[in-house]
Amino acid sequence: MPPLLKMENISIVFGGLTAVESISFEVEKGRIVSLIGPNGAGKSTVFNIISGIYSPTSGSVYFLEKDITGDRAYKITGYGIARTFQNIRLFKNLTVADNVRIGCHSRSRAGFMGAVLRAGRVKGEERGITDRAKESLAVVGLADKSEDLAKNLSYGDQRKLEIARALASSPELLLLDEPAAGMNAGEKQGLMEMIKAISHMGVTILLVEHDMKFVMGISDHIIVLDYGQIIASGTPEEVQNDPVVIEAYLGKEAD
Amino acid sequence: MQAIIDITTNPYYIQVITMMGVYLIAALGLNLITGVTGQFSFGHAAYMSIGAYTSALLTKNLDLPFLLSLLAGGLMAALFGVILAVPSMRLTGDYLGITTLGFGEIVRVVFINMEITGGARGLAGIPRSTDLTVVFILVVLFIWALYRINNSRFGRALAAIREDEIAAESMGINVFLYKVESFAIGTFLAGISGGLYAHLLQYINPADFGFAKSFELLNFVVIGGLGSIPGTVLGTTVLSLAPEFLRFVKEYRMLIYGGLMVLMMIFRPHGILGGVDLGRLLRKVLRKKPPAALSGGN
Amino acid sequence: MFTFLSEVLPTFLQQLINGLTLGTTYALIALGYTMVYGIIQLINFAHGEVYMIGAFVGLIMVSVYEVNFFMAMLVAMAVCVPLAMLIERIAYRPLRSSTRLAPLISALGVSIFLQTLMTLIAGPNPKGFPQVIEDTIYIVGPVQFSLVQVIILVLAGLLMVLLHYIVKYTKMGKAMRATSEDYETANLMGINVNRIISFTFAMGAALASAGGVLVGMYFNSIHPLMGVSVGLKSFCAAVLGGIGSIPGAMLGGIFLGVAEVTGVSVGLGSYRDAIAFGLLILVLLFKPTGLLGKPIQRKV
Repeated sequence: MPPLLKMENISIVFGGLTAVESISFEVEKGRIVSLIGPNGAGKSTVFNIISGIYSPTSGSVYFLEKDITGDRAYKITGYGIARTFQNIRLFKNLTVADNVRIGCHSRSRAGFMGAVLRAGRVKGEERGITDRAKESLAVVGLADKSEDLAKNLSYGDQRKLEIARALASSPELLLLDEPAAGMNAGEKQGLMEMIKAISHMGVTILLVEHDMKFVMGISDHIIVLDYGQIIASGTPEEVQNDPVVIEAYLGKEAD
Repeated sequence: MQAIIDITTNPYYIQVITMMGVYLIAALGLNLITGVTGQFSFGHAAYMSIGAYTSALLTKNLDLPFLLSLLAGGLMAALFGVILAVPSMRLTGDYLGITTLGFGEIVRVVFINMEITGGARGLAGIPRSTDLTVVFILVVLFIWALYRINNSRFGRALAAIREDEIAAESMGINVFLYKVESFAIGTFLAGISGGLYAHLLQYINPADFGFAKSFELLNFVVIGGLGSIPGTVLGTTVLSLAPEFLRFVKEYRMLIYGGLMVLMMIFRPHGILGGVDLGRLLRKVLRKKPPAALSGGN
Repeated sequence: MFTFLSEVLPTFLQQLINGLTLGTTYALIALGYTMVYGIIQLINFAHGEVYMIGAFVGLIMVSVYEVNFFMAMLVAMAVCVPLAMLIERIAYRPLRSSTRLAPLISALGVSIFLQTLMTLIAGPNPKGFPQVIEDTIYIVGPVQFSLVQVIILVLAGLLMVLLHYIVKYTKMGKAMRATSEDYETANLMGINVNRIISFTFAMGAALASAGGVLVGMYFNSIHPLMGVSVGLKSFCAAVLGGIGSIPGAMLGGIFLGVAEVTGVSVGLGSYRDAIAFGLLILVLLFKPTGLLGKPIQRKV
């Protein structure tokens, strides 16, 4: 089976500085893959390239064998890649429900005229959006908070809402950028269960995370970045025992 | 009772109220652009002028039916709205504001220099076709349409852009396209408003549509409460009637008006109805349980 | 070739001098816009009114108290500096953490207030500015310029050098640049941000009021609404040059002044007020942060 996502020799240069250098890796369907590395290793940059916010200086990104390099972010979401953000970017003044409804955008069509005339098809679509939003909120356990404003949620709930919003676009691949940041041990445990549940629904997951225990506990496969390059990859056991990783990464940031 | 009859039959008051409705239509358009989509527009009066001249010339010179000329004026304004929006959408915040302001001034100067519009002398002899009934019907129609927009996939996408452009784009929203559409609809409403204005006063002059007018419209929207339709209605009502109520202070009128703008912002920086969800408030007052979570769109 | 040397070139040089004179006055006002924007990201719409009031104070000083124009300028500064600081204190400071449009509306309110106030005091009609400087005309080769023009260029130049010195070398100036670079960090580093903001408004007002007196002298006429169009154009100049950038404001002002005078001389007189905005839009479309502005980084 071909990989779901394939990164081929990706490099990106910001004002003369090479942030990511000639990275290649694949994500197979159904897996939970983690991207780890010290601060500034280029993990978030890789996310921003996959999700279309940055365009790589060279190299190609393939999703389901289709070349999506340099496509705009909104298109990439349409292909089936959704993401969350490290520094939570919710629609703060909108309700929880509307945040998730907006997540359904790429799976619906009604435009301006549809909004005004609201024909049968549009009404049906709205119902579909609402159902889809409900399902997504149920997955993360926020169904009872759907009428709250996003900005009034607790920090942990805001992270969950980001996941629900991304799920609403029915993604094949879900990119989670430090989902456990700022959570306590109990919340992290819950999050781990949630991610596993999402994975069981058939969604492939690529995540960036700092918490080693979390990463080791959840990943099928781990890719280690340092200074914009891949220095190791493999199963959690392999990576943990890799002397290069221990020296370059774990040595720096004793966890 | 007699007072009400006096007011509702006094042509002067009817004129004032009709004009209020005319401005309300433009303000609703601006609210969509600035309040809902979050894009600064400091040149909204220019689109009013484009609609005003287009429709006035059509009825005056070509005897086009009034409503058709209104539509043409609205479409012409929307066309220019799109022409400006397409290249300037990569500008954000104040840069977009100042570009729209600049565009507004250019439009005004161009009208001053055009032959067919009567230049700086203005355009007179426009048939008087606007009346309170037409304005009232249009106001109701547009408010209804805008409510539907706000509670739709389209409207949610606009709000998402206001809240966070990068997140909106990552949700699959073509931010550029939606911004342009928002400008098109908002400027269309300004154009309609301009057409009504021309056929109410029967005389238009480029000086009527300078940036002072643009900022007045912005005032209506911001003081009422950005993004809120009832807020826009309230802001427009209060502020366009304020000069009438402030008549007794005579020459100090604008002094007080300016001072009130400052005070309003200090005490209610989000506007009178900013951040107030009337629907939710109403449910609270009626002690009704909020409708089951996610009860769908109406 | 001959006509070029005898007609085109002299005309061009003459326009350049007139444009420079107008442009330096724009630059003086633009500096206030750019410094304030650099620090609190506010388009201070009341800045044009500070300039207008400066011109009126200057007029009163030379016509009622018959002081020389230099004294008049100092008094205008002495009135406008506290005025601008007061405006900031009352109308902007309470709104600093508010939405972007709230302080803007407040600024417009102040602007309307001051225009009306001056109209009530001085009447709506233009007032002549007495001739305080002898009307000496110098002829150098093919071009001529007046003593007033020389004074404007020299004085405006001196003020800008002084500003440059303050911003670059004084403690206050360094704190100002730090605040402009990163408001939060400056605050955390123990810089009294409120004082810096007041100081910025004060400097902007000093330059604008000097500009008001110089313009009154140059055009011999002032009126309560004079700040509106000049204020907007100067703001354009600031954005054109790259808002937040002090050299940008100077460059933008001079560029705009020269463009406007040139435009009028080639027969675009009736489009005079559109020239500034047309140029601004063109520049922004190609360089969205102005000529000397730093590019915006897309932060994710």
